[in-house]
Amino acid sequence: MAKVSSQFSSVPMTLTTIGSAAATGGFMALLGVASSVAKISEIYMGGEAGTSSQVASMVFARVTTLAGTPAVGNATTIFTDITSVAPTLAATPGFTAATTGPTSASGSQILHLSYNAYGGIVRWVSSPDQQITMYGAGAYTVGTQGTGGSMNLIQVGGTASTMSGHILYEVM
Amino acid sequence: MSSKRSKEGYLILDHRASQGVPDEVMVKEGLPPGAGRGVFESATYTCSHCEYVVVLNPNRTREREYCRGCDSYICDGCGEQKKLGKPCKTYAQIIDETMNAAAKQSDLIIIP
Repeated sequence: MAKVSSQFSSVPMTLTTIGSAAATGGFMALLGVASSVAKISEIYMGGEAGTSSQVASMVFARVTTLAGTPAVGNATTIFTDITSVAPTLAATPGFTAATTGPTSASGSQILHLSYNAYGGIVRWVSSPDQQITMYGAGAYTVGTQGTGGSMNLIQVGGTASTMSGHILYEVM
Repeated sequence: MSSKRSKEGYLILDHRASQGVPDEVMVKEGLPPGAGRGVFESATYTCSHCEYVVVLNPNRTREREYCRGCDSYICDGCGEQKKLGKPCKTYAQIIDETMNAAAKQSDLIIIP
């Protein structure tokens, strides 16, 4: 079971309305892999606003309409253990841009993490057996308790802010 | 032997080097006034039915939704569903069922 860190560096987040597709950049998403289970255990964000107070309302949600062709952008995905194998297909890679952004419908939100991107940090850690589960490569359908393989970290309110951070998960 | 507290996660909002977040934003998200200033730490739990992460508000007086079926706390939304008669089904069960269905489908032999 490989532990993986998907990091995003200095991503200028784009304000996104819940239920609408994200822009072609300015989010942090995890791409689901067919028949693969991943369990998310930590989300960390550090604000990089340069000059003034910027409240950033962030939401971590399941993706209800998949993104178009993803581009890694400002994301880096690495195994946390030393290995010679690059985490491409084996892991759930992170990406910060796509030809069309992913959509997270109302009701698919998992976690709200608002903070001030001017010097603020926020970190959520799950208990060892209460992680957020991703399964497969499909989109999530709200209300069906279905499975969903892709996740999305988006800014839904405040002032569009630049931030870095990581999402830790384990591929089962 | 596990306890309910062993299922708790952890959230920290650190605004020691920042002007913080106004109370109206934090209260809107269900957090107590002052959570957006200085350091705010709280336990969280993950709803076993939908995996929504609930940040425990220390000022909450209402009872938390609990499911005897899976011996776990659940979110308010799933608690409402439970009151309407929806049976207990954890997200882990759904994943298991989906994986089993996929495995059975791949075992099928098609004879022409």
